[in-house]
Amino acid sequence: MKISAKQYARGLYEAVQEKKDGEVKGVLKKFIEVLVKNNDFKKAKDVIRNLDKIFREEEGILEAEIVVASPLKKEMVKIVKDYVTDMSGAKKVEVAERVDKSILGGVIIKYEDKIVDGSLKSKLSRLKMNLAK
Amino acid sequence: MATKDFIIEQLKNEIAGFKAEAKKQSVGVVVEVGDGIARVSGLSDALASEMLEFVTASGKKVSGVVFNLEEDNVGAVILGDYTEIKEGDQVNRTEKILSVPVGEGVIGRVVDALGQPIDDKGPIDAKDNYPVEKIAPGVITREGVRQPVQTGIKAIDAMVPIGRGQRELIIGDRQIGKTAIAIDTIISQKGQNMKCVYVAVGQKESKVANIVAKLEEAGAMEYTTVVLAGASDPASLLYIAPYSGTAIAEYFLDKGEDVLVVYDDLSKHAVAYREISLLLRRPPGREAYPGDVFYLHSRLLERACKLNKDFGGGSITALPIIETQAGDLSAYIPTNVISITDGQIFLEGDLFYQGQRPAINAGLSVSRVGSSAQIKAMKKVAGQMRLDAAQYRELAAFAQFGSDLDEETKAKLELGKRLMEILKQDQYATVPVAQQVLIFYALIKGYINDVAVEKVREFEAGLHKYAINNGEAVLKAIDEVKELNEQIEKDVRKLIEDYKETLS
Repeated sequence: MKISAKQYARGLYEAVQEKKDGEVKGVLKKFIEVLVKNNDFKKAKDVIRNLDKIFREEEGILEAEIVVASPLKKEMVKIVKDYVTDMSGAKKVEVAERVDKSILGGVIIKYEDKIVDGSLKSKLSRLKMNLAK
Repeated sequence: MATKDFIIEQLKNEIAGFKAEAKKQSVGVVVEVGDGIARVSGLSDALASEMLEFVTASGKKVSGVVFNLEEDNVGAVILGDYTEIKEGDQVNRTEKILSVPVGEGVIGRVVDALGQPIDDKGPIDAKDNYPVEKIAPGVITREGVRQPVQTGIKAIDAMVPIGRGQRELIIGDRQIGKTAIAIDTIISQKGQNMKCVYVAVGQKESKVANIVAKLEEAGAMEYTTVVLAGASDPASLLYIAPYSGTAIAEYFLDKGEDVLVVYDDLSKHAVAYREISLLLRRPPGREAYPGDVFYLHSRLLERACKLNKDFGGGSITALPIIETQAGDLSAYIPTNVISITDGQIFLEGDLFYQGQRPAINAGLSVSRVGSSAQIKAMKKVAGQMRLDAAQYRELAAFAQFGSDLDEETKAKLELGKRLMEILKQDQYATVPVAQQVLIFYALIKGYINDVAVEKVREFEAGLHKYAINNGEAVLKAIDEVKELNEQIEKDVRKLIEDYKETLS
């Protein structure tokens, strides 16, 4: 049976779970040996990507991107962070901020496959559509 | 300027009243695109056959439909130009199931598979949207087929009658008059209280343009809608077109009207579906068609129905067309559709090239609904006709070997020859049912026995002309009473005798 990159990643994650930091190195070495033996070393990249995802999933860490027109103040970032935590039900939210002047104002929040578009630009375009009707 | 102030005031109110809420929305990203198919990651809550909106780098929006829901991605079919969609483009949900605009406004129009007009008559005024895929009406809502669809084609109305709500397959090789039968049927629905939908799947646009022109000339576009997915359209549109056509028909069904839908043709539809399925990596089966091609056609043709009074009493009659290769009826798609439909009209190349047009093979053509879809007068004159025609062909082949035949066989052969002549009919020359009864009556009562075989068609044309000029009352009586009672039979006999007198 073929083992997918996702299964490898989950296996590796579970194997490392109860190990102390010192032992991890040994586990990793064994893991790579298994990959080579199964002729699956080309999947290593995919495994790393999946491991990242599984780790975040298991630990309840959510990566969110916020797009703003001008850099936010610290308090504002916290408000947005709390908002996302509330909405997604994740334990911890990591926020990456990106400045894009073209959205004019407001904020766009992206996480997983969800998007909350609260930008002034989209509001204006919706208003335009509404008036045109 | 009061009006100016008024407008400004209105605008102010509009703007003040406008609330733009930021809504949580799921989006996807194109992972892979090509051949009209896109794989989209994300969109974890997309619905099956939901419309999607691809936003290209240039800001153009292309629509698509969810086709495959998989573990970590969504397989979508792109409706329209897929060359501009690139990997990494954003995909939005619309939260709408694929649907087409329907209403009185679509009558007389040529629309594409998504219901958008492609003629030059401006936008369509449609009140409603109907989903393209719909579950067929259930048992409780239906009733038996009992009213006829008058095709105006003698061979069909006499031998393989079609009823309202029936599904009758037209099957045969290329270029032997399958579409001609369907078009003639649409033309002769004038004044029969019938709406028509002609769905062209994978047809040459020039052919469809000809058909539309012909329908317009015959005044048939007043009650007909043409749904066109041409040969150059992507497979996704070819796949959707028959379902859209049925959705348009269902609008009229729900209003209790009778509708005739022609699917021209379903073999190309199956090929388009095979293309999409293979691109989406569904496993191929026999002839490389996916496992659910049977369901593809059965769910479409099950939507043809005759509803009972409690549910409006409307009907959808389906005339699917299948093209065979070299008369091979046992290929995959022909056998499937034959088993779904309530009968088939089989057209044969040999007959066509012998000049027997329409080239209907009487032995292999059947109508499972049968004579309950004929008016009584027609039943009386045409009851045995299909068997007679089928027997004649065998007898004729047998009689070629010897000339010394007994009287009975000779008489049968002579009658058969004349029947074959009468069943010949030109394209676009439909015959109303009363006139059909007249000529068939003349045949079975022996009025034509003394007419030379090569003169039979001339005789028939003369009879029709004579009847229209001198026997209007008789034709009207047949139309209204719908049966040959003693009085009408007497009138008919007299009309034919009078006509024969004018000949001598």
